[in-house]
Amino acid sequence: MRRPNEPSDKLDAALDGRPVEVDDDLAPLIATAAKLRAALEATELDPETAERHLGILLDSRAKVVPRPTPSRLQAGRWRRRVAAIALAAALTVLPATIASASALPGQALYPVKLAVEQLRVTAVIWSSTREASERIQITDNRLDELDRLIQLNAADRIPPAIVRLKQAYVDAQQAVEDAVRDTGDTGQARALDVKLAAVTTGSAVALHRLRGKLDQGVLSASARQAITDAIQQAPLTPGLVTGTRQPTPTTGAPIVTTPTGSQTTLTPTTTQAPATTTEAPTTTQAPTTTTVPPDASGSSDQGGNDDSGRGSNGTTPTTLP
Amino acid sequence: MLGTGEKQEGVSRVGLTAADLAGARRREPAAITRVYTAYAPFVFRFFLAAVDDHPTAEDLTGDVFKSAIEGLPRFCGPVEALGGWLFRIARHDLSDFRRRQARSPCITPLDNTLDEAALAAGADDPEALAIERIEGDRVLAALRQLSTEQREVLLLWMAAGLTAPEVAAVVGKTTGAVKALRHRGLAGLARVLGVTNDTSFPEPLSRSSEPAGLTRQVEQG
Repeated sequence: MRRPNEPSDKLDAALDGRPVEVDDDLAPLIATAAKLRAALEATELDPETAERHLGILLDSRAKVVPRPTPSRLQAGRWRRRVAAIALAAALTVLPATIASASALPGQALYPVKLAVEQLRVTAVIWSSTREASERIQITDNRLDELDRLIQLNAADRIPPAIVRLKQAYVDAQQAVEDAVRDTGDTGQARALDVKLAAVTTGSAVALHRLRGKLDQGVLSASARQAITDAIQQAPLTPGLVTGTRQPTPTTGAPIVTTPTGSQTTLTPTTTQAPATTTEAPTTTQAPTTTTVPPDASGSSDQGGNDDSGRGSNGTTPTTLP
Repeated sequence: MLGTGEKQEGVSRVGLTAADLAGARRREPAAITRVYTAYAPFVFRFFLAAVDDHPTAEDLTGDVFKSAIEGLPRFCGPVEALGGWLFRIARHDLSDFRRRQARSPCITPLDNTLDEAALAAGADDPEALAIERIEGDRVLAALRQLSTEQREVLLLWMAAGLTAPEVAAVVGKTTGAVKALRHRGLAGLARVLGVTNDTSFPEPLSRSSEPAGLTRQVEQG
């Protein structure tokens, strides 16, 4: 019969996180396990590699495993057919996979796009600043999708796109706050604030344009209701509607961006929402030019996200399947 | 890690559902993507720690998923067993790789060093990152000095996040034997790394059910 307190049981308990009294013999083993865990967790799969793998996996889904056939003639015909299918798949699926970055909700490659985004976040999770930057980029992607869906009048896909944008925005806001708290770097905080403010402004414009479509009666009553519900359902992000966001608390003066593109520097003593009045654009048409706040200088840690403007700039809508 | 958190019926520890598994069997892109995203970081860590070469570990990772997706219709287990099945493929591929490697000369790639330098250059604190990397490399180098069995058990447990019974199923040993190998492996690693009794006690070693790198699952499209 085994004694319950033999070393291996105690080690198991400690390694599994159960409360156990660690003696001098076990402490080095637990310390070693922690070192090993840290060393392993420091290794991350490159998002581009993941994207390449997914491309291959999704491409190979068209491959057909041939069943045994009775004659060589039939087998040859079958092989040619398989080759033709594989070639057709390679010609259609692979370029589409590469182009997953422009996929819209509802399209086959959209989950690939989300997965690649998630992997990008995972790859930079060791730096809160970079994570915030990635999350702002993701919010920008959601905004771009919403913009294109609005242009396409894809009424059924707009409500979930709004919800996704709001969730991405909430995540980005949280990430920016975490980054500011972790680094305490005012310059970086400003840079992130400016980037997020640009997305906020873009969202307000997009939602305003959407409201215009609702007012014009372009969309059906049920679609209008669904869109209204999506805007009102949690998470509530009033900043996305008005184009202003609560600045991230910093020791310096936060920068607030209005939809007109002007920047107001608040006094450093306040961390409240800006006192400036923000007016949404009065026209129901999409503005031909949207002034995007300039990126803050001195931000060397933006993870290559140099397109601080809206991702929809210059993007042409694609035809939905 | 895949963690040892609360198990939910019909849901794997990485959040995959039976529907995901069924979808992947039917080669649905969304389901394949979810399976890949859920397990790829762990498979990659497993290979990288074993072969110490990024491109090789990446290629091996890709191969595992290619084999897995193609062989998924033959996988009859529940979604909870998918991780163990994937790592059986990974272990098999690693053995194949070792055999091939034994027949050809080993070349240490320069690309890794260059990648590390580039990464360090863009880091918040390049010095801290470099030190962290050096320490990580030292630990992984020490791991490679263990016996194959010990190393394999430690990697399946730590890198793959499998439980002792799951590791036992993958390597074909009893759970008790796996625990003993894990114990001896850690002791060997501690010796090589020079970790002694007076080592300051590390952070708690609880294996979270929401592991780093997988804290946010892929949004559903």
